[in-house]
Amino acid sequence: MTAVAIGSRDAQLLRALHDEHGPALWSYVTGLLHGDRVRAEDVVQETLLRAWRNPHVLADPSASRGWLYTVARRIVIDDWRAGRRRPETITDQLPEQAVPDTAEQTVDRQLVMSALKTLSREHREVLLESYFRGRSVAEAAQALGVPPGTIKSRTHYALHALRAAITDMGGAA
Amino acid sequence: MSDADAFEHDDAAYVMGLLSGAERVAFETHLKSCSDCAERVCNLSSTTEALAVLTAEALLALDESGDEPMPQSLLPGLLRRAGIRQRRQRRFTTGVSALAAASLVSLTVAVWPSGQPAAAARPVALSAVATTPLHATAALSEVRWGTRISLDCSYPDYLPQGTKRAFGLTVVAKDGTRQLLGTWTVAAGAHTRFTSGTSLPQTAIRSVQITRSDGVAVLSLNL
Repeated sequence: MTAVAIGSRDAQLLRALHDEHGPALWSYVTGLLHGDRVRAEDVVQETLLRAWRNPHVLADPSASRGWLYTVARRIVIDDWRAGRRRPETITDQLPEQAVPDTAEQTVDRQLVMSALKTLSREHREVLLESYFRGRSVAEAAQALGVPPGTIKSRTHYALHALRAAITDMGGAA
Repeated sequence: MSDADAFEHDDAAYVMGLLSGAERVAFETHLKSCSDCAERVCNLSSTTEALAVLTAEALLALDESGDEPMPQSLLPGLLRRAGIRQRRQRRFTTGVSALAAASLVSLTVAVWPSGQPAAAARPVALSAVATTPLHATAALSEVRWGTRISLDCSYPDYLPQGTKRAFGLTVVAKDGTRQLLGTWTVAAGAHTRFTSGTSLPQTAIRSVQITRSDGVAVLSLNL
């Protein structure tokens, strides 16, 4: 195929979109697609193309990332619903009922995973000890070798950071 | 005030159930008199609900797996696809205007076959611009005083019983100004009809949005 040249301003905008949002979208979409890199590349490109086509969404930087995640998510879900690719499911229900729900759940999980990735290791660690392992403040303090007050403030900052990250990605938390 | 400071960091530990009995009682007493802490507790409760979809294993796997870099081919492919799309768009636009010029009369007839005015608008679904379970359609009709907007929205019944949210109907004009046309509450499983209007003619409207109580748009219809 012959190369199709686009204007330098368009190329500049696409390159900027790619550099600024590409890595986070890539990480999110590969997670959603269980590591299918070929499909993920397609979804990320399509998402960035739509942003380039709708420059008004980029006017507000605080909202644009949420928009991009939402678009990427929609492309993946619409694909699943169209039956092209589906998340791994084991079900005895009719596919018309089971697929959308499972798709939404997979998507929710991946969004939270991507949000957790933006947290520091320290913050993830304290959530692991407290929330997932069900330890009390005193037990978590002992496990991590820090004072109890630190456990409280770390869980405070970790959970608020997680909430901000999920909202930033267009999710509800 | 110093009282609030002492409890400021306890919200997450409280929500996740980490506090000892005495600490919990003290914090709950404090909550009754501190609306800031109460609001934070309320917010964090839904954040821990979001965490409930994961397991400790998933969280541990996150630490072990480094992020794979984006493939080198992504950007060149993106630029190529943009070029193809731009070229196709140009062709399409030229084609459409030629078609429109050639069949203006028949097109008018096709759109309003029963001779009804443009005012009998069909409802169009709004698309999500943020994650939301809300579904809505809007029908816009040109009237003497401006534009009437009839909204039909529903909240799925799989949401927890008693879930209620307030939403607003906002129009964004082509000059960027926004008008809030009204607010209403939707409950889980409920269906709400809402009609409002604006003095703006339809041609001056850029988009119709449904906004959360904090002003963030969740659904949008671009005109």
